[in-house]
Amino acid sequence: MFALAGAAGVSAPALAQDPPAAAAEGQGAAPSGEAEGYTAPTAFSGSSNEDMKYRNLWMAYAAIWLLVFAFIWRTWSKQQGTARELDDLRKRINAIEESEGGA
Amino acid sequence: MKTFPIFTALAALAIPTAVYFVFNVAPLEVEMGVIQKIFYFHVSSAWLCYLGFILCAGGSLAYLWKRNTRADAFALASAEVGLLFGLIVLTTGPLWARPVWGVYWKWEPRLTSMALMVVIFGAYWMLRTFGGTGEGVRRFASVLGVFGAPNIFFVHFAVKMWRGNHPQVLNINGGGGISPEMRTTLYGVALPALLLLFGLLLRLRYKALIDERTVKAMRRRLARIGVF
Repeated sequence: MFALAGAAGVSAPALAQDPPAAAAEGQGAAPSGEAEGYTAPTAFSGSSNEDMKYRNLWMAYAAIWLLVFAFIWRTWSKQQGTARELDDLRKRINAIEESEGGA
Repeated sequence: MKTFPIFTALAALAIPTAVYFVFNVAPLEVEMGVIQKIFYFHVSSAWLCYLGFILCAGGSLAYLWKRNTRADAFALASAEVGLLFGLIVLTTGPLWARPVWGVYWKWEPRLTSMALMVVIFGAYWMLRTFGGTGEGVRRFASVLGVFGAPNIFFVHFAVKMWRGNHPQVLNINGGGGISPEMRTTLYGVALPALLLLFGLLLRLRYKALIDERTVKAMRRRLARIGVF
């Protein structure tokens, strides 16, 4: 939990930076290693695409931590319920053993 | 058990360090720009998703062979953690693709096979969560886990075999046009940090499943002697 909170703290300043005013032309180029003969769908350039890159990066990191937190929360809440039930059962067993011992 | 706090502390250090490296050490990719920073956690998550499903297949095989319920719990815990990382891959990938490819999703081999694999293990998880705890359900799910894992081969080599749009498969010597700092950030920091997180989540989930089974077993025994 602390690790995730720390990670969110470290990434927040970087993600909060303003995008550069003008984006270089040809940024919509397909990623390296693309198959031969593949043509990039559209050339994306301009500040709106640059804004989208920052927004999507922010959303991606938010989604990562959100999914991990949700998993931990689900596991933790289930574990709490199980631990309570286990305690209850142990108390019942102890009570039975004590009553049998006293009889 | 005693090593758990040590690993937790290590993860608490490693994850912020990984994020620091991603944003402050790894250089900005020339063509894609800042959106490429998704890559470090996206690729690491994909490998950990594979690892989770391989461990699930291993646990399922052990269960089918020895009928060991601990192996079955391990298989379920591994599938759940693998699914978590699979969901991270399927969430971060489209967010990267939109500004680079112009679309969130393409029905190309790597993406389609990855989605299919997550659906297979999603079915495994649904079966285990809503299908009850009977022997038949466990055996059926184990078979699904064993036969779902080889799909990893198709996902991983889909780019080479079917020449999709997804960037090339990376290997330990580089590939995919990444610089040494990028490689260090991926292999030396982000992947080990997420591996630690993977181990901790697997341990937590496995322990929770074992405790749940202990409670059920105790309830059955108490019911047999007429307490409930």
